[in-house]
Amino acid sequence: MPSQIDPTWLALSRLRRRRFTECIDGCTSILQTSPYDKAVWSLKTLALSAEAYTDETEMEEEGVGELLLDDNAVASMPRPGTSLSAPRINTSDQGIRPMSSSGRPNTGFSRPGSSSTRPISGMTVDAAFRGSKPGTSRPMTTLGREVRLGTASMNSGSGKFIEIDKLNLRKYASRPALAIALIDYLLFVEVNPRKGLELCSEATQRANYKSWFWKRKLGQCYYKLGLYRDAEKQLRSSLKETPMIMTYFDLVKVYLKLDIPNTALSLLLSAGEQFPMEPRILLGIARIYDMLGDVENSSAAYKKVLQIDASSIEAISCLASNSFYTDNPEISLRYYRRLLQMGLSSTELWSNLGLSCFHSSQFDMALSCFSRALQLSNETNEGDVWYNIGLTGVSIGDLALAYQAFKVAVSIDKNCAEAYANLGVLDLRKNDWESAQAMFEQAKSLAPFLFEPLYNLALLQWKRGNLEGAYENVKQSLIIYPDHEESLALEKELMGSLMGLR
Amino acid sequence: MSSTSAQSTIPRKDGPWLHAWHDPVASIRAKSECVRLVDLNGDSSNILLVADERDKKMRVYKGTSVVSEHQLLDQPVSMCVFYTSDSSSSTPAIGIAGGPYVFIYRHLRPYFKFTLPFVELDPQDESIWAEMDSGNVDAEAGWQMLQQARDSGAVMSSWSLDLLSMEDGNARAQYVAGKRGVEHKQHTVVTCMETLKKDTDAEDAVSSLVIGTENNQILILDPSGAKVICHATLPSTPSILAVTGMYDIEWRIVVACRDGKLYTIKSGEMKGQAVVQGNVIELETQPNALTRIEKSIYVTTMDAQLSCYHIKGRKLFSVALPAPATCMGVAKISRSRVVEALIVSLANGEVRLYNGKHLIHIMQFDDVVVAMRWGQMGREQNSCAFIGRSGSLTLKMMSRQASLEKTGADSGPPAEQDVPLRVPKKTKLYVEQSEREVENAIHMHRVFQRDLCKLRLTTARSYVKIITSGEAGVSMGGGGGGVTNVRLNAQVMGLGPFFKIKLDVTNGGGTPLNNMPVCVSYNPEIYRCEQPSWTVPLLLPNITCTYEVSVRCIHPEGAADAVRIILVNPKSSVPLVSGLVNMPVSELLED
Repeated sequence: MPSQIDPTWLALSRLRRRRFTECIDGCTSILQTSPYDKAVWSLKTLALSAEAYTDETEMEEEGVGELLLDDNAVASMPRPGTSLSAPRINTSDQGIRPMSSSGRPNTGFSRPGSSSTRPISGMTVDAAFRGSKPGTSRPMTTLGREVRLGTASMNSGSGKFIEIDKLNLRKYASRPALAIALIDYLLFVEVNPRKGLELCSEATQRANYKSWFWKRKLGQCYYKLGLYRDAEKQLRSSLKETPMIMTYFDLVKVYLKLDIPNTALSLLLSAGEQFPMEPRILLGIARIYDMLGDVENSSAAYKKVLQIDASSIEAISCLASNSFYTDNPEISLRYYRRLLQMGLSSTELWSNLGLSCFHSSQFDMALSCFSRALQLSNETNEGDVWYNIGLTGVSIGDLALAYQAFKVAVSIDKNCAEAYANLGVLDLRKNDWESAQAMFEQAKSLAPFLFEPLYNLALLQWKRGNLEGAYENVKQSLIIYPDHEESLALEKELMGSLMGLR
Repeated sequence: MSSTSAQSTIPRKDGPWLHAWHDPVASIRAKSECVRLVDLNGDSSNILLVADERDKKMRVYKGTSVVSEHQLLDQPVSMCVFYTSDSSSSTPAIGIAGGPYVFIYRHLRPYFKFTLPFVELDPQDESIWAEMDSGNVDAEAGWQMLQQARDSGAVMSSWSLDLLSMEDGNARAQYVAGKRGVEHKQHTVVTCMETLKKDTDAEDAVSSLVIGTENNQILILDPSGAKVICHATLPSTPSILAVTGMYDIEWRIVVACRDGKLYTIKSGEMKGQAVVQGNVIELETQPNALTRIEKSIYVTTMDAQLSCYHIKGRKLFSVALPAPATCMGVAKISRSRVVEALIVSLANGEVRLYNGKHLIHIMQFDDVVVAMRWGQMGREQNSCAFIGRSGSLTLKMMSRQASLEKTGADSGPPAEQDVPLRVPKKTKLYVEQSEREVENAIHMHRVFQRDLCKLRLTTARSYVKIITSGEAGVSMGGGGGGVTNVRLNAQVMGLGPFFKIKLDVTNGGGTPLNNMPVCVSYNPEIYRCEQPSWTVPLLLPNITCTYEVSVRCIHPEGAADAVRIILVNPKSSVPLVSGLVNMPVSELLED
């Protein structure tokens, strides 16, 4: 059948149906016979860029270079609630959910880019290299990483299609259709924003500075190069010409990189008035509220998202986890069941489902969810599932099960500090003080943001008579969680012993 | 010495305090006892005297500038201003205690030096030194005799203590030779000094010095400062004095000693006698500062408490402070009636004003105040000088309309008690689910127990698997030969293609381990390691050993993979401990 259809039309149809690889192959074969066919050339370019396209609304993991060498002037003492690194004053209880000093939950939550918020007081080289999870490290720069990925995909694909250096950008700029195909290729496949910048500036000139599209592309190039203020200018003027949803998103990304989340928020709210039915705008709003640590507004925004787009996975899971941690596990159970009904089936989902069932006392369903989660798990998340099983064991009272589960968890995921801390507590029950101390030390060194191992270590040392060690540890625990009653009581006790004359 | 720039951020009026002057770079290091406000020239315009203990200088501040600086002969312990004679145009003398002497200055020039009386030597000690001096006994034999004397309980002089601490025979002989011909006298040093008025209570009344010494004595000198007219012995060394009364009529000294107790010394029946009174106040922790206001003794202690005791020894009240106190002073305002308030400075930079046990005002300083003195500065009667930890000098005044009365607003339950707690309501879903539980209780329980058994089985199986393969990050107890736990922490450093894996190996058990091979397992297509195995010679308990492994990425694209580090147990096939390191994406070398 394909031989009777015009190959160009076939390629176009494949592009529309998002069958990119087939489209690219088709185009390559046509180009081999007639290399100067501009239509087919543009088709191939569009297909390649669409294949490599990443969702522009996601935040990427920041590279080391960005963290250390960022020259953009950011407010050095932002008021709480106006910066991504200083969200509003944290009133949440560390005992329910460990939060980092910037208000983001430290454990059980994974959103790319959100854990890389810079500390206001400057970053040390050591801290910059540490990745978001313990035991990983950051890519050098974000752009570098994308170039690497781009090169990797190119070399594995059809080889060099367009020789960038030999392009006569002026010629292409005069042909708008080709230029549009090319700019996307430069930005997403080749990841060469400098060339893209040249092309954009040529094209904008030709359009007499009135084209919203080229201004937006200029903004994107500047963003990729890290020139955020210029990007902002271009995107704003593009919005003035013609407001488009994607431009709004680009501008939001720029504002987030500049660490002015409130401006981004107001921008999204005004965009929401213009495009009231667009769920991605509401998602953006909800994400920013989440990054600021404002749970109430974030939940409200996610609920609005669900009203428009009832199958938004992100909204459902965020609402579910928020309701779980605010003591409504039955609500989170309902949300996770909805995700199941939508056809999603992953380790994380089954594990969360198991936890919600257990905590809302639907014990019959809880454990089978965990076994399903184990079946679907791979190396990275199996440790977490075992940890949850261990916690369930503790809640049941079956300490042997808990002990074994925690041991399995640490063997799979060496950096699971919480499991070490719990193993320490279980060891104490067995009166194995040496092992308990070793476990607490391990947990403390792996996760300095947890206060439990510090407090437990302090208690253990106090009981064994090491008053000074206990005092240091309890002080550190109080720095993390100043309202912890037991730490305060222990500290008072230790002060009395260390200071008293009699 | 312009002070206008420093004043821009300090509020002009802060409660009853008025800000006068602040010098952040005065670089003064002195205690409260070495700071005095005194009318030196008799023209009722007071100056501030500071005896700096770091550069051993006495500085005179008139207004806002330093008028003169005088070198002191020793590090000052305390500085007192006292009047020696009664004529109306007399100027006071300044007594500065340092070491075993009290230097008395007149018109800011050295006038007289009072030496503390020598301590009586123990007769055994004295005789041994006399014999060594005359040559009957040599250094070695003398050393032995001193040791015996010390063991038998005699109090050693400082010469003997020095000699006893020398190990080398030659050094001993040299020391003894050096002391030949020198009169053997034992000095004692001054620990604290205050003044005691003689017979009237005026500002410029004749007064004498009260000195506390290191050998548990309190001495009162005569107003000219030449001889001791009264002395008392305490059970322990005095460190802070609070003196009230008049020598000729009746006087009382409250002493805080180094053993954490407060003793009271009263005037005896005859002039020249002192009685160490019966009541001793025992404090729970060491005292920081001590003052007397009328019939109460205020003392701040190390556990951040401000306690008030009656003269008779009863504890009246105790206030908990947010931070330990650094120094204390008394603000005495005489208007229609004399009001005395307590100024306490805390280690968090606060300066609090207390009237009895009521907190009147809190003033916040940038710097922690370590010394203060209340008095008249220039012509302003109610002023206070504060010296900060960084050496800054601040002068504040209390306005004449300042009210030091207690406000009644502090008492009563806090306002937060009336705000109801926000308890989240239980949802309808919760109720429905509880109903479900009630209906299907037996079935749920059965299913749950069955699942629990299955889960136990799965868990146990996995557990056995990891024990036998030694995958745990902390080694199990039964790895063969009673080896206890070893911890392994691995961290990747570097951008690539050259990486370094930093290994921290800690032996958490009680027995040392030796001769354990370590090996590194990696994918040879992606990485190359120069030294993939070596032996750890010795691992002592609780000591962390660090090793570095160089790994190089040879993959042309810089792909990332995991590298495993295994610590092998020489006695069994199960590794002691192993660690998995996820290597990051490597940079490429530009060739």
